[in-house]
Amino acid sequence: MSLPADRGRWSDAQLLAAIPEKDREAFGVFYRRHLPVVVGYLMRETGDPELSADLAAEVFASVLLAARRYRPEHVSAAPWVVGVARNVLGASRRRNRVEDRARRRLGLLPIELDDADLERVRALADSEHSRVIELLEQLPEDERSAVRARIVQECSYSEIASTLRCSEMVARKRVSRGLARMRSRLQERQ
Amino acid sequence: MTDYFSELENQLGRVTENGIPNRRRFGVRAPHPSVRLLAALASILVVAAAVAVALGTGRSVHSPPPVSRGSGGHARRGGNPVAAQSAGAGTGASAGGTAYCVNSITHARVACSPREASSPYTGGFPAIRPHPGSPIRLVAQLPLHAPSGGKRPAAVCRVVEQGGTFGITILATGLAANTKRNAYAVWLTNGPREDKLLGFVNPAVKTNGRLKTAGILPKNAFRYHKLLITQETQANPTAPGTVALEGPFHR
Repeated sequence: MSLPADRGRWSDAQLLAAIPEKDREAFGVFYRRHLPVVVGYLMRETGDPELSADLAAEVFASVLLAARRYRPEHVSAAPWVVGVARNVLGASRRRNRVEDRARRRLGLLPIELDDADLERVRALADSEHSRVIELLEQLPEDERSAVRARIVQECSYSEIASTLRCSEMVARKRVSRGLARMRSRLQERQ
Repeated sequence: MTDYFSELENQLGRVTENGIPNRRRFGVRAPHPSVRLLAALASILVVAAAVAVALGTGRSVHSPPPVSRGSGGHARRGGNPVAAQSAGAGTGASAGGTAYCVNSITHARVACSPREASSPYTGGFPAIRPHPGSPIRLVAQLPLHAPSGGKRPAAVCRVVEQGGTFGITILATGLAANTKRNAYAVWLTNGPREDKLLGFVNPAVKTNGRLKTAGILPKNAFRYHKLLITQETQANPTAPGTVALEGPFHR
């Protein structure tokens, strides 16, 4: 079965499979599709746009090196890419410096960041943030309150249960259903 | 003028177009040049020591140590010091045989090739070194067998003691040869969550399927009741991999 010529219609797995075959366009589509997710994650974790940009470069260099080993487990490769980002961030924290092994391996040149770039990092992170907020707002009231209390306010299930006047089991179920609904809507959009 | 992320996309795009370099297998790094240099120096020292021993005893470098392995035999003058001690102490034929085995295996471990020295599977258990003046005693001889119960592979594990220190030697046959992606490891275990990695087997098993290794046991070794030889695909395993051989462990 032949793939559509427009790489934008390809799935993440198809794009990642094409990357080792020297398909530059496939990489470009994959990069633009997942850049906001990666930058948003790194900004949330570090709160520093300069550091986030530097780490994002290492994440995509690692993605390039690891593309061959990708095994599609979900419709979207976003969990995998965020996993790569988490590993890069963890390694950087352990070593107390931004990891650059993948970039050195690929022979990438350092890129200067200016103020406009830092603004772009913030904008990317905000776009990702607003996307999640939008998804959260679309949830039914009971699920939205439960997800917000659990994920944003980091309350325990017993606290959520007492606030929402329900059993702990129901609170867990509402959080779980809310997250599942957000996940499926996110995948539909991608 | 391009921004940071466009420039990054350009650079990564160029790499994609030119072909991504093959990544080495997970968890494996190229040995640092200083490690390679040290390995080469170690090999030279080992060869020099072997030559010195051979010249001192008037024997060929490759000739086996003159150990008498007959019943109640004695090691000849100038022979293997470990064997001489054990035989001289009158510990019997099997202990003499074990001592020969321990020493030859120790040499085999040290004199591994640079490729093997740079294996990612580091952490081989400490080599048994001869303790002058203290006899080697064979404590137990334990058979190891395949989990499926077949005749091959099979192995014998010998528990030995010298000067209060316990060690083991393992000789196995019929094992699958190691590939670049795996290595054999020796574990002690009491069950799924109670296991201890003794170390990786170096040199690797070749196509003849033979494995020989030896090492010192940790002080708490005898609280474990089972010994495993496993095939590992990770450099830092937290639990035993595919079990190739297993058997009881006691003294």
